[in-house]
Amino acid sequence: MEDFILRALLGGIGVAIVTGPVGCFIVWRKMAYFGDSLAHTALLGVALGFAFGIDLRLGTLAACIGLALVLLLLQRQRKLPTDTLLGVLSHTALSVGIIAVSLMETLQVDLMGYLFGDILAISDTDLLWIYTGGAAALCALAWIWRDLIAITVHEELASAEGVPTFGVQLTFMLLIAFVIAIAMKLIGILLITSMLIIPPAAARRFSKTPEQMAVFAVLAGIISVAAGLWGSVEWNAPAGPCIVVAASVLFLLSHSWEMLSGRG
Amino acid sequence: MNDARRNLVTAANLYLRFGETTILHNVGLDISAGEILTLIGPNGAGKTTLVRVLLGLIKSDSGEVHRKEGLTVGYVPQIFAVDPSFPLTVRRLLSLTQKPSQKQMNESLKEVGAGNLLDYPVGTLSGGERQRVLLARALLRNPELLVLDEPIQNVDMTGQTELYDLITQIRDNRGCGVLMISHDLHLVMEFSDDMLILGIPQ
Repeated sequence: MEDFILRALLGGIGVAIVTGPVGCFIVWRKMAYFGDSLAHTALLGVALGFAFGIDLRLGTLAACIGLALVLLLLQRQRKLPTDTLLGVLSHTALSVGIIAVSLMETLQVDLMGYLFGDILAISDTDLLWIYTGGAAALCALAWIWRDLIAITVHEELASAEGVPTFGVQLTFMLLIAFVIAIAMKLIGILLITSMLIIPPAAARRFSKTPEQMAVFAVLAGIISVAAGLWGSVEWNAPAGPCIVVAASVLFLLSHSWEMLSGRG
Repeated sequence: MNDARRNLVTAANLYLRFGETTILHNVGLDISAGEILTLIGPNGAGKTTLVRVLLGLIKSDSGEVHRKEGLTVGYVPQIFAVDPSFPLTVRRLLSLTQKPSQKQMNESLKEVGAGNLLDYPVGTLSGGERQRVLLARALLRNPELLVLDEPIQNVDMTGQTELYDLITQIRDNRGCGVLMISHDLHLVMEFSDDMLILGIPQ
């Protein structure tokens, strides 16, 4: 196997291990649009990173946290529905990001690479980020797991029974921002939400408990990465979209099985 | 029934506004152990809000709430819809925020007449079964006060009487206080010891 493909495979597997369980909560808590908005903001973070000469992932993290805070502030006013607020913030951030990055032409920023990912150009530093950052993210998720499950089932009931709902939800929002920052380079900001949504959606059919669904989502993610990379090399097609299509095929297979076995 | 030692929750002179809307206007009540108190009133009268204030989930603008020290509460919320994407069994629902033993879970389900449901997915339960499971869940906390927000919603007519009978029976066996929200005056009259009627504040 070529060296760069092996690195891409390792990186993709590392990302799938983290996006599986985190993505399950995004599906359960109906936060797909929130994830999308954070991802769109990532490009602004890349521009910030270039402008201030800091690591692009830290720039991304800062921009995503900024967006989450602005969203919380606007939500408190209760004047507009959350999806409208997200629509405003998400597309503004994406547009400002594209403008900022294109103004930096001298830096030769690969816009397409950031939008759709460039998993074949993954470096050893990227791998290190994915595995240490991913391990940290999983530890944080394990720490809030029980409380977050209780909140997901019924927020008010959890609150009445002593779960610190605000702190746990804030931690989870930061966690999503962190995952996007470390996975952005591989799948791209326009496609990263698909790695959070599609593997859990494919795993639902086979799961009886939340933990099972998280594990199956990881497996579905790893299969998608491997199949997508293979397709990418075989047909010389862009890797990020190939991975997403592979995940979608898995999803459709799991769904048709559900319908054929008469449980749809 | 109303001597101070048996009082679980006492509230007086509660006022609460959300923006322009007055939700609670000079509300007060006492709940004692072994008593069933029902809050009735139309939608928007502030019944659920009052319960949240009594439980300490939100604060009133003024007035006093006094809960017995160390009061244990079993709460059955009004709206309980689990998203179909979330795989949840009854067993898991019972152990969300505490860790009851297998034996405790079985006994609790038996007490509410839902003994065989332990490994069922919550999404497949009927309205009545779901209310019983939520009741079993509240009982696992060994509550001195049971708080039930619209316990008979989505339950058919015979099921409603059965549920009220069950709640009365639980009160008799355990001697706990029950605070219930309802908008069905007819059944409530039969099963409550006391009622508090909330109107829409002007």
